[in-house]
Amino acid sequence: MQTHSTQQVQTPAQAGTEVQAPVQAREPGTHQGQYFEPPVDIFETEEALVVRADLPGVKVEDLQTTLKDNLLIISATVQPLPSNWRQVHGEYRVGHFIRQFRLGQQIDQAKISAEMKDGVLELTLPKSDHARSRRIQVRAG
Amino acid sequence: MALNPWSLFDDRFRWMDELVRAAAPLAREAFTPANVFPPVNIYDDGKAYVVRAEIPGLGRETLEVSVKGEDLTLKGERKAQEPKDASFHRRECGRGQFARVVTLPAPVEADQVAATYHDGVLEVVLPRQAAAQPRRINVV
Repeated sequence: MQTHSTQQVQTPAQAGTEVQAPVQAREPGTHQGQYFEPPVDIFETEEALVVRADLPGVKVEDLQTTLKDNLLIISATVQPLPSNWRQVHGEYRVGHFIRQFRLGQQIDQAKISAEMKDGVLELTLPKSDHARSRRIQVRAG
Repeated sequence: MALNPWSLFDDRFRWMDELVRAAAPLAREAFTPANVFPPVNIYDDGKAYVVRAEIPGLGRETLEVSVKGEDLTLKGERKAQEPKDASFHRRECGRGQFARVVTLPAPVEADQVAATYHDGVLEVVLPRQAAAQPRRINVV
């Protein structure tokens, strides 16, 4: 259950509003192939906004994450499979990943941390001090 | 004929599937979207089948891979790993246990099967049995 904070109450619509921008047409020529939108989990704790994205097959060095003007962009490329492999059965398609979100909160950009483990990217975006909820102590009069 | 209201949902993405199927010969890949987890791709490197499944965030200790005859069984669990006070804005990544049997096109050498899990991709290499290997015949 969400406990509503006193200020900067986030509605799901605000936090991580997806930007309807074209997925294709990024750096034409340098990246060929298909791009997919990775599934994400976004949750909020008292201190931070956490974004987790499923990026199977992505190596740390092929991942690019940028945050500029509250626009978070996650993009990653996957290495091609050996060319002598012949596909005999296919249920999923392999491609690069890109997804972007507009963050509806003030983030302390200097403290952002990112970790990649088993194909899952975890971005921890600490809230800036004034966006954090504060408990107000009420003194008995 | 009974009217099935759910057919609307079945049809929703059908044009996509059809488009993909139509384009598949161009991409030289066979593509059949799976309704089971995990979806697998099977490749042939000449000597062995390579089964690849995208299963990000899996606890390696929960992963079980076994082979019997032509059947490859994949089992595992993706556990929820978020703090207690987390309030979710989006929840798109799957969770929970899975088990799936994949039937290979030909018998494999069960004792030579090797599996790795890197970057959220499970890769199982299954060498074909000698009887199933293509043999070059010298023409005299």
